[in-house]
Amino acid sequence: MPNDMANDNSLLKAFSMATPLAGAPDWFDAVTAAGAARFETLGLPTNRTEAWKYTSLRGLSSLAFTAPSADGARVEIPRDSVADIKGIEIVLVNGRLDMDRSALENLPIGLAITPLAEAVEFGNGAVKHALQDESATAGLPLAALSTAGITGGVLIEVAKDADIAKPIHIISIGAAGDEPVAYAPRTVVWIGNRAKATLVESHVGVGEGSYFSNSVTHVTVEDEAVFHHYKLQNEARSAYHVAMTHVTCGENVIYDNFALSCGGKLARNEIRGKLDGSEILYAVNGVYMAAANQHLDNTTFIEHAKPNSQSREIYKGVLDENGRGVFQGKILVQRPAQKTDGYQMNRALLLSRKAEIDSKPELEIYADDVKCSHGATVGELDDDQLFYLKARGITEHDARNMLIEAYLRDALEEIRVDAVAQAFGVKITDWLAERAKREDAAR
Amino acid sequence: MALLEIKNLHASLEEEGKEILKGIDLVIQPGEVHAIMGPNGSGKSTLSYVLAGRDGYEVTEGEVTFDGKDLLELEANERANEGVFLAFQYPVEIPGVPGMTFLREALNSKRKYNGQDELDAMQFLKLVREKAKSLEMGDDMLKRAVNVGFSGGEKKRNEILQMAVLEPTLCVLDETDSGLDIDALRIVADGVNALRSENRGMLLITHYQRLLDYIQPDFVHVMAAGKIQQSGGKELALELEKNGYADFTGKAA
Repeated sequence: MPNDMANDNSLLKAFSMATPLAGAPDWFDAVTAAGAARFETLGLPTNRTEAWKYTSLRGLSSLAFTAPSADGARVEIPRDSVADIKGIEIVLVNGRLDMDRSALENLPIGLAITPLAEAVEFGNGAVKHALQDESATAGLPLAALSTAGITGGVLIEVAKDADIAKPIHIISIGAAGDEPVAYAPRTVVWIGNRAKATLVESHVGVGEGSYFSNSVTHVTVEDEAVFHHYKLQNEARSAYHVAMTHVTCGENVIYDNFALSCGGKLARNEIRGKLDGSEILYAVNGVYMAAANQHLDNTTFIEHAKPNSQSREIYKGVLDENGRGVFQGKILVQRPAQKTDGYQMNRALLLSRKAEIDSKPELEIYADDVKCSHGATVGELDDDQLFYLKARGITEHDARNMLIEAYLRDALEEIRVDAVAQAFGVKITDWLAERAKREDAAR
Repeated sequence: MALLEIKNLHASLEEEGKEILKGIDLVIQPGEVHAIMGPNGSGKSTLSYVLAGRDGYEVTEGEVTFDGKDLLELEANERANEGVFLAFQYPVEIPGVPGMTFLREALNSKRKYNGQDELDAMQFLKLVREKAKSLEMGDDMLKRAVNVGFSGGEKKRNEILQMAVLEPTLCVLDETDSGLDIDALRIVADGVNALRSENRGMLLITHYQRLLDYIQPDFVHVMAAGKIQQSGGKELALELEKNGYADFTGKAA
């Protein structure tokens, strides 16, 4: 439809204008041009696109996004929204790297953090490989759009055998001025053989204005490495957040992802993992908490390409008021991937009659000797548990809160780094406190 | 004043509209221990739920006065804070809620309700450890989530621990003896007996006479088909043990 086309073009224009990496090498210009061309071909997805059946981007079209200004608004880091982690901080404002507030020097031995622009300029192999990877945008319109206008980011490299104890913490701040802004952060992570590292991402916003964060992250975990990858999506409530994470794991890798989503007006967290080795332990877990007018989408794709690997996936959601959740999880087991062990579960707790969850688990299996299971549950709080608490003198209100908190906190057990589990636990407590405030106000 | 006075209580299952309690009359004075015995399906557990204020039951007729107050007007949590305690036949497991957090919340709810200061974590822990000792419950048990990983006997002991901490004035024990071996039964019974006092009333609901060997009731009532069919002293329990409930179920039909 012509109208859609016009909107697609204005989005593309906003993103294309955004790139501060103009003047970069030819290969990079070719990457952005290919991204733009691909987005033009694919168009902004509608509900007719299978992968976007439950998540509508219609709201995006009504906003005239502009590219963030080049001077990079100087904004305070909203510490209350950010995960409270003592880490090595990298700060992005509207998708641009804030060099002054990012730890780029005096890093632990074995860790290198390079501004993306610099890595592009020098033609860093990992960055080139990631950006030129056609499969990172194939059939993925939003990733293509993001590629058309990369605003900035970093390359994180952990040398082989390095054990980086301190978490690396990317803080991405959206700060719209009078006009809505759109930006496209890009992170490239490379974890060398036998290395160990933790990355935490905090996606937050300041101010009331609408913004659109459309990020892509590439993660390569080489043989026998351990990578903990945690994300807090706590964007401003008027924000759009679309994130694509591509993960490739080698032999004997432990990759452990946990996403806590509670912010944004519309957010989609998509993780596509390729288990390109044996004896991999791949985990993608998360918690999502939606309240009024929020739409939170978790979409995952796990490809088992080699035998004897294990994938685990547990998402838990709480949907209040007219909050909406979407879970789409697909496990693909290729023919050689015998003895694959895959487990997937989405549990949603509906706290209101107006809340909604759409769950779509999918298995596609070509190997004949595998153990894969998936499931989805939707429920309300357990009446027996509620009565038990009330029969001990606890009010209905407090009893409900205790049960919701227990349900959510249980998911944090999946996080393998205690400090992160604690920091994320605080966000759950905050969310419940806010909910309690709403309830008190309504009474 | 009677501690509990039940008058002509009729109650139905809300969903099915089926009448379960068909006119119960019962008076418990402070310090008394009453036992209600009866076959399965006689309405014993329904009575305990109606007293504790569980949703899903509709009282169609009659009244219940507790300590001079209209009990049926109160929410379940208010009843608990007024001093009614139901020891569950099947204590509920609540994963993710630490047992101690739960019990402290319960105790402080009651204290707050009655205008008392709340206990801090240290004061509370001291109190619980003391009460838990006589029930042979160690710290490892106290640390777990509510009833999670507990055996049947441990769950029942946990109910009695809660009762000891909350110090209710009316204890309703629903089939507390079920699923207990003889040693566990003794521990639980000792716990209950320790709580007998002149201002506390107890209502033991049981299918078997066995519990009554350990906790001696002042009165025994036989319940069948939603009604108390006969009342007497503890000798009535022995009679039932010998003759079964056939007389009463026959009479009800």
